[in-house]
Amino acid sequence: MKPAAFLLLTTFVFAFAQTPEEEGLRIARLLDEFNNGFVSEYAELEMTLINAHGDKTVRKMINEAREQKNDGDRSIASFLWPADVKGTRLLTWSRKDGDDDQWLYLPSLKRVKRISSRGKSGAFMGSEFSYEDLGSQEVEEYKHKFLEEKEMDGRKAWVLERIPVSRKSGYSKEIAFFDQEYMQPLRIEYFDRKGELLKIATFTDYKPYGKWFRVGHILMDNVQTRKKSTLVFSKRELGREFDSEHFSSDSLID
Amino acid sequence: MKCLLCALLCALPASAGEWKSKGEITVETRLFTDDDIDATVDQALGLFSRLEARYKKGPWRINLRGFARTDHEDDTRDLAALEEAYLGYRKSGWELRLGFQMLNWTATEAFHPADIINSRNLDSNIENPEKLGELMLSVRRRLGQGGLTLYYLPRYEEPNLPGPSSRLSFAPTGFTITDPIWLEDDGEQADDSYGNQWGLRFNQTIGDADISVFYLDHLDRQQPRFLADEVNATITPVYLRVENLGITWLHILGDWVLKLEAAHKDFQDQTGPFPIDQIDHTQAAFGIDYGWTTRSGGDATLLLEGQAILNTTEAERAGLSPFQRDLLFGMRYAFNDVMSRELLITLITDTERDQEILFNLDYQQRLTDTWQVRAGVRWIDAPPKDVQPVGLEFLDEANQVFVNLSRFF
Repeated sequence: MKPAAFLLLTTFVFAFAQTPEEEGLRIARLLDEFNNGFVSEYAELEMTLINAHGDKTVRKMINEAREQKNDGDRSIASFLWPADVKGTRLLTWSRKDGDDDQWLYLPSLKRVKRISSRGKSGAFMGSEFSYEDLGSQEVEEYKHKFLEEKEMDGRKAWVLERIPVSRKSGYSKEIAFFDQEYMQPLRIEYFDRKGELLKIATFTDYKPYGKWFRVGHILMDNVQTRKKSTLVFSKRELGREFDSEHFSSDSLID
Repeated sequence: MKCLLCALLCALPASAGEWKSKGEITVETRLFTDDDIDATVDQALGLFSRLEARYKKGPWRINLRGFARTDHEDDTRDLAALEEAYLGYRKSGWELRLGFQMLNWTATEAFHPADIINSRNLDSNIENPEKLGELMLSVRRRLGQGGLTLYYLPRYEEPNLPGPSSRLSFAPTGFTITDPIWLEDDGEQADDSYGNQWGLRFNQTIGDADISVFYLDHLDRQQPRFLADEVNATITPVYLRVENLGITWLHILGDWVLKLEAAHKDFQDQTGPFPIDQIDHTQAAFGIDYGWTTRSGGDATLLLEGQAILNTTEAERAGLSPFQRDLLFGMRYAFNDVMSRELLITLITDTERDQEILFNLDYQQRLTDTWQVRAGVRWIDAPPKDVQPVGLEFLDEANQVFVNLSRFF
């Protein structure tokens, strides 16, 4: 091949080859687009907290969510157990740009209190899941970078590095393994602000709901403290009809 | 009460809906510093219970909630109160509720000039006394990200005032509190506790702000006047007609939460046979919270709040509220751990009157999934400056420690 032709071909290849960041963003948008359109979701959750000695504590809640056009999802987490928090509700309006809007309903006071969503890195109900882990994961909340394709337990996965955009995030980066059929994560490794591995989340027991897949079991393993938490989903429904004002702060009050 | 309950149950749709219930039983202990007065009870051992039941079927709902307290040491603290007993219907952006309701219009943590619709049990903490249910019909229409609510209240709900043996009493020693006098529009004393009261409230979420404005025409239960009969050693509370116009505003700015609450009170001029009235004034409170998450995953919040009574002289406002020109400094820490440990420390200080301080330390945690313990200290330093105490001076040295053990179900 003549040098000029080789040079032209090389330039052509490099001009159209995507950088890892562009490829990462493309995959993130692909995942997001695929998972849009579910309209709404209802699920009952049981969270088990396991300390370093193996002692277990159980939390129960219901999660309801609805897609919004041109913005993040709206969701309500209603706490069922332990008994003292029964009836407490957390309403979240996820925002693609900026902080989420959140309201907390305190049933003993019959009070709806708007709260700052800055506490994303705080522990959710004493578990190894943070509010950030359980919140709506919008594409715009991360800088994405494609690392590789990998096979995990016989399943093909994309491996992406995600760096949270928000300064309030508790993580310096995440390594996420996305199943190419489920279009959902199989594993996410969380790194603390010092860059050390902090937690590993493992997602299993996926079930189909129409074209979408939803996880049945999440294990969050804090490798630094040796504590674990599990989240088990049951009675999940997609497309459930909610009253038009169900996800408003006024509707939190019984 | 039985008639109301029957009416609510008969209103249930024929097909079965969903009932939910919960409750708590609490053993309450509190110990005051000895005031050297035999008539007052310095230690309390009480049993508190609260039960709640909710029914929902389609657009219909019924809420029932009440509490009861009995004190082994002081039977004047015994109380059974209805907080909620209403039938509700919610559909197509409308919501109607008929019965007893508890409303919460506040944006701040300690000072609540806008949270005025429910009567209170004043034999409880002065910053946040327990609320009693208020009989009303409310009609709400959803508008934008909020709504407009119209209230009609046909009954004057009497606050529960601390008895003569309570360390939280503001009656002179040896005086008993009689039945109240309700003064209606024309200044005439009401024959019973029924009369017309009404209100309107508009609320909206606009971006990072939650805003509400309200108007209430009712009998004021926050600032009664008192008639003293020295011969019979009685104190009679007098509740006066007032028009309230108020606002609440809460704004999230990143890690900061800014709050404002204000209400202007225009008391009915008394032209009737009772030569007693109350001073028109405006009560305004602000709050600033700053929060952050600690490395251990806990949530820490610094609180700064203030309240002022405006359009009054210093002497007038001293008689209107214990918190007439006060600042609160506080910190709340939620450990976010398995036991849900929380600590709240606040200090309220008067910026106008010397030596008026209220310190509060409150700790709570779960013991198991159903048991919780709460303990704390309250210390009040407000020595009377005159012969007649005013405001917080009534509670001077009503210092207490308390421990409560609760079982939830």
